[in-house]
Amino acid sequence: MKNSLRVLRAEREWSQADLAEHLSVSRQTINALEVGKYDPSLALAFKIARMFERSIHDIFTDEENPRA
Amino acid sequence: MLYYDGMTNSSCGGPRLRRRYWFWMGGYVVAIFGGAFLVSGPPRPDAAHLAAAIIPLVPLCLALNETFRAVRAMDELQRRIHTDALLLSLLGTIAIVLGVGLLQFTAGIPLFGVFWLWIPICLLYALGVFLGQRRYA
Repeated sequence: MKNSLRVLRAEREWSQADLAEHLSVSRQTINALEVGKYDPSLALAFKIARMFERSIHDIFTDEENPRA
Repeated sequence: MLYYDGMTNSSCGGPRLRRRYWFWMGGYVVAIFGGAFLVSGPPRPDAAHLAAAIIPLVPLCLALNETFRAVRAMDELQRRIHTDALLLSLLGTIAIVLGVGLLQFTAGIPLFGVFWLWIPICLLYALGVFLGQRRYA
């Protein structure tokens, strides 16, 4: 699953640690999400979407079905 | 940084849980040596010897409870790393037990007590956490 987390974070000029603090997760989790090593749970995906005021579809893209 | 119950540090649930863990582990060690000091001599199935063996389980269970709480307090990636490590530890220990058991039956290697199982369990758990941390680094 691809995501635009790094871009959205850069728009707000946040560091990974800043975003981690806002989401109450570790910086390692943010890094793993950004480089695509880890797919978030639905709860975390919703939390991220709420934080950036976007829909989940705007942030996360299914690589097998990009238009989904 | 805040986590699920207001603790800091994502890797092991924060200093508060860690302090409580080491407190109960300290109690476990004291109970072990205290029991060994109070009931010396060869093993016997009397009440004093049974108590010396069972009483240390109380602080040990409380320490294990702190471990459980620490894992639950972690964020989801850390929890995945630790549960994967536990799975590696469980499956690896099963393989070791079956392998050693067959060696005892076929090659006649000496029997060993289940007490020593904590060593492969802990080593494989540590290996699993190390591999998980590297995988998601």
